[in-house]
Amino acid sequence: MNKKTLLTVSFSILFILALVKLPIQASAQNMSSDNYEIIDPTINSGGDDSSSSDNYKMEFSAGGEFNDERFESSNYKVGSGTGYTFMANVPKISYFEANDEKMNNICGYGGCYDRARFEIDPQNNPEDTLYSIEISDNDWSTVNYVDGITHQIKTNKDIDDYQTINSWQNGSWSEYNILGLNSQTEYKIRARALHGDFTESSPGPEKSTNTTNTTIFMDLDVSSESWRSSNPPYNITLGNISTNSVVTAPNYIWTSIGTNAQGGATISAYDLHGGLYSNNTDNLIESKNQNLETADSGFGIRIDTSKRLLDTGDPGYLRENLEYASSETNSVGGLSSSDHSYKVVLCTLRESTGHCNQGTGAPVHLSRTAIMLKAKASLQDEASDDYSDTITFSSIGTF
Amino acid sequence: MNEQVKNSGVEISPSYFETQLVNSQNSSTYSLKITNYESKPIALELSLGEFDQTPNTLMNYLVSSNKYKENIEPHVITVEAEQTRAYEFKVQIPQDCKAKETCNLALVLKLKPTDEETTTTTFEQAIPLYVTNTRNTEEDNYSMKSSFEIKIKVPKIIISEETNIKIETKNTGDTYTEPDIYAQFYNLKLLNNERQKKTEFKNIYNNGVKILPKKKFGKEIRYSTNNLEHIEIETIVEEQNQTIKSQSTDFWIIPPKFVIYTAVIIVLLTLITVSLIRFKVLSKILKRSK
Repeated sequence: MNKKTLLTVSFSILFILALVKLPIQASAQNMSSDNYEIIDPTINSGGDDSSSSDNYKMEFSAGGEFNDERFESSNYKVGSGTGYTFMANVPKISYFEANDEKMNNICGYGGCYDRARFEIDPQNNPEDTLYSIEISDNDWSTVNYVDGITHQIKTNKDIDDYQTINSWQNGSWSEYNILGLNSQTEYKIRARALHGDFTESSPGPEKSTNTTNTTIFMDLDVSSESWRSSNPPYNITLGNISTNSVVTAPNYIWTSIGTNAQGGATISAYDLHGGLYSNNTDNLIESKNQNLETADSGFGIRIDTSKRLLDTGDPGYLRENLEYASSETNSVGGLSSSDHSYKVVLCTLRESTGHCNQGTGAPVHLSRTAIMLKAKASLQDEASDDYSDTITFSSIGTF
Repeated sequence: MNEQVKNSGVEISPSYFETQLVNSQNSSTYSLKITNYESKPIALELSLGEFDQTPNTLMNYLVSSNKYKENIEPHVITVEAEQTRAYEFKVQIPQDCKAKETCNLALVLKLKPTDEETTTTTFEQAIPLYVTNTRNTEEDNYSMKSSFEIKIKVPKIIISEETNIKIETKNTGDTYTEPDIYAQFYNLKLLNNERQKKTEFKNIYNNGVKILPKKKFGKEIRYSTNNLEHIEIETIVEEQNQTIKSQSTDFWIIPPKFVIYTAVIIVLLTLITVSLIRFKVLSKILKRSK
């Protein structure tokens, strides 16, 4: 047997002995005799009070292990001994947020109520190191785990819940990477690293964040300009409705919405009369989907898609139902006053080119778009100065 | 933009509720925080309506607002200018809602003009109330079910380096659910169809959004490879980390270059064989002629 093999065999035996003896270290007792006392010694893996008399007490060391639990406080821990050299470095959480500017740009108006993002600081662990994430909403009285596949919270973990940094943070999980959180709750997380069998590190330092509440904001403004705010009541006039040409109201109805509803929000509309109604003449200029250019008469709304306004970093887009945004300049979408007659006019989507029948619902910071009123009368419509209607726009989030 | 728009408008939080009703329960109380950004006080009229989900995008939309007008108290609230206030509302659960397993009610707050004012345009905000009726299971031997139907549409043999796979799911249960739907791809051993290793993972639905009963959700996912593979795709629907449905199907994916290589090899082998036969025959003829 050569020198190198001998050294390897000796080292392996010592290491196995160290592993076997580790539990003994944890319960080491004070060493004392009549003349002295050493508090809390756990000197090595082979330590044992195997020799003592009235005057002394000795612990033998069978290996090079050294693991004194006094090398740990609330602020630091020294990983002394060879066992630690095999363990992965203790990782840190470098980022954990649900409600900062970055997360508001992901979750929309009001921040994240059910999700958050964390980022792991590997602390020099190699790229293929696996990490598990522990999470608690009661200051670690109970410890839960983040599922490595679904990223939902669960009560126990298995090997699938150890993932690389790339799996935890990139690809599908490049925006948020913890789901299923409760709103208005403080969460703490910490990470453990694993790089090969029996190498799991102890948990790293915690980081905390607070989830927000679900929120929806809506506003209407009647104005010709994009930014002008107006107080209710929101009155808009069409002026004189001509029998030959299509009349467009000089002001827009500016509709604004903001929400953190992760499935997005819709804005539907219905009206009081199903068109412009005159009490004096009991006549109705009916509202329906049509091109007023070619129709005899009619009334409806139309979204001016060139007036769409987004907030900086908005995660979604306020998009339209195509019925209300035809390519023909004087085409309008109709409104109805009958029961269950709400019609979706606008919706918030992830895709900038989507429309309300196709796309994925998404939250928005604050998006604003302009709606036009258009009407045309026929010779059969009796003249009167009291043609009117009341349009109600209704917002609702998807959760 | 935020600051300019926020000179007006109304913010409501929270913007949805989940309520579990037990048999005898007739009413429920909800608390909302309402912020009025307008520079004048506003009156909000309250009513109870219903919501549904759009067929393709699965987005909530209001269906009716005044269906149960008398089932909510108070009927009107006032919010002072530029103020935030918390309000409590008592909702009497409608009888026809109690008869169902799940009820999609919506609390509707409509901006109301004062008596002196008229308006041609106004807005309302709806807060979904996801109501679940928990019936006495001992009495009628009934329990709520979460169930899903999965359809995976993919041809059995694909001669291409990539393919689109259509996954269709439907909530066939009698309650709303917030599922995680994902697909896992496994390589199958060419001989015995045994799973070899997981090749890919694709999220299908994981946005933490509820799907109402009878609603469908579909998505196309892409699978690509450079190798000849026999693949099993398993689609899994999970709810709170519990699998409620999984469905698998398998397909062969054969990249065109593999077909070309195989064809070339076959042609070469054929040519070699033919040449060998001809050579043999030629040799025999030559031998005989000698």
